[in-house]
Amino acid sequence: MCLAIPAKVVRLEDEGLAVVDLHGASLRVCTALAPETEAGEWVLVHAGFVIQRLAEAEVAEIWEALGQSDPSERGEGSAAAAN
Amino acid sequence: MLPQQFKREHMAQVLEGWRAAAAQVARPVAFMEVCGTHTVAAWRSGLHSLMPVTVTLLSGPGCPVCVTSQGDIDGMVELAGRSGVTFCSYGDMLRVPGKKGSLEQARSAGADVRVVYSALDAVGLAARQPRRQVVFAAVGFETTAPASAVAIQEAQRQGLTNFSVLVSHKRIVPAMLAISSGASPGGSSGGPSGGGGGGLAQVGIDGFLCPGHVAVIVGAKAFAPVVEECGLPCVVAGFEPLQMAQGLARLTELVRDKSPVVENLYPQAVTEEGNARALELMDEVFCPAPARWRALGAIADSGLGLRREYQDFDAAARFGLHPEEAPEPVGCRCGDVIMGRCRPVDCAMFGGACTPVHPIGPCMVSSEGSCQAWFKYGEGLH
Repeated sequence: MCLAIPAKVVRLEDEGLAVVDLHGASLRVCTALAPETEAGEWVLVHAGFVIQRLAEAEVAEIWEALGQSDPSERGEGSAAAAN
Repeated sequence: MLPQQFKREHMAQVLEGWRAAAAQVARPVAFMEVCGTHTVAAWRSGLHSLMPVTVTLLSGPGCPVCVTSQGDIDGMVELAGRSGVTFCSYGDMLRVPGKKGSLEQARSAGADVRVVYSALDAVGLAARQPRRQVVFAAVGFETTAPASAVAIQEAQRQGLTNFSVLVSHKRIVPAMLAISSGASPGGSSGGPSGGGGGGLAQVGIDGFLCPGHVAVIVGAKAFAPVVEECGLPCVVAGFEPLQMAQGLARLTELVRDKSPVVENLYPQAVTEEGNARALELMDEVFCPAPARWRALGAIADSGLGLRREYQDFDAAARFGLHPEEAPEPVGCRCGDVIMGRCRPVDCAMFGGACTPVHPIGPCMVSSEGSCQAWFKYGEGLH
């Protein structure tokens, strides 16, 4: 339950919401806990909330720790590959 | 990202330094992690088999599902079964058995139990179903509590009178202090013993590997009381095997040097102060309150209660719910496992009567539970 997963912010929406690319899945999350979140940056998502902004260099290691492949290697526009 | 070759060499260096530090300590040491994600990462990566033979890594009360008291689970199942109630929970909680079954079984019997990914999903359900009472099971540590706070404020903003929360949030530092008060740094018999038997009963706790994602919210400095009051070192670590090994190696060095301090080895995500906005929101809605933990019992200020301005959202009060402490399932040793008193494999039901498919205790139910992690990855360590 304390698992937090890196995601890339695709766009910001109204009322403190944002759409993120979470390993290929497009997901709407709340930015109330990190209101300075900007489109295009990597963030840490937990239970539908952005809890921290991340430097892109850190994302690969976090994914590796989670036993997943690194989504940052897929490049831009990966949100289109939502499953 | 570090190249794999470099990372392997780096891991080898860390292990070499760790073994040297462990040899200099010249006695067995035991560290405790208090994060379900650390539990799984350590098992999946094989870290237990890589560490120095004199070092033990215990899994403490870091899995929210596992530490939720039996009485609180019974309360959830009871409320879910009430007429007109839509009960929302994170998926982890659904299969935990209560005295009258689990939330999953309540759903099979006709209860309206929904799995939500976000607390705000429950608020959305309440807005769409004005004739039903929507209850959200607010479970988890400080990682999750700010989300509950946002959901409650959003429900208030929308004027929803059919939304409430059954609060069972936990604060990790009071639990660490409770465990530490029974621990004996440097000793071999003071640990959190008091029953249970098992192979680890005589091992004290010499330090904590602090939960990375809780620390994102509370900040590294939140663990200072563990150092100040108990004299135990605390190291915040990430979840990559190398990061965990570095954290544990550093803890070993701090024990060797008799230097109990808090160190943050996960600066990529964790700051000293934590997430100020999340802490602010949590403080607006909640205040510290006593809470009951499985195995640890009631601990002062280890939970969260709703502040007066948000009392209308208290599901327990709204529905006259008074959860009572209930005994754990007969033969289940999850309490001892959570406290590090025994290993999962020391439970007579482990792998036989209790498996991930047919779990009896919460540590086998939860994907972050020690028993399930040992069942999946601990083969050969029996």
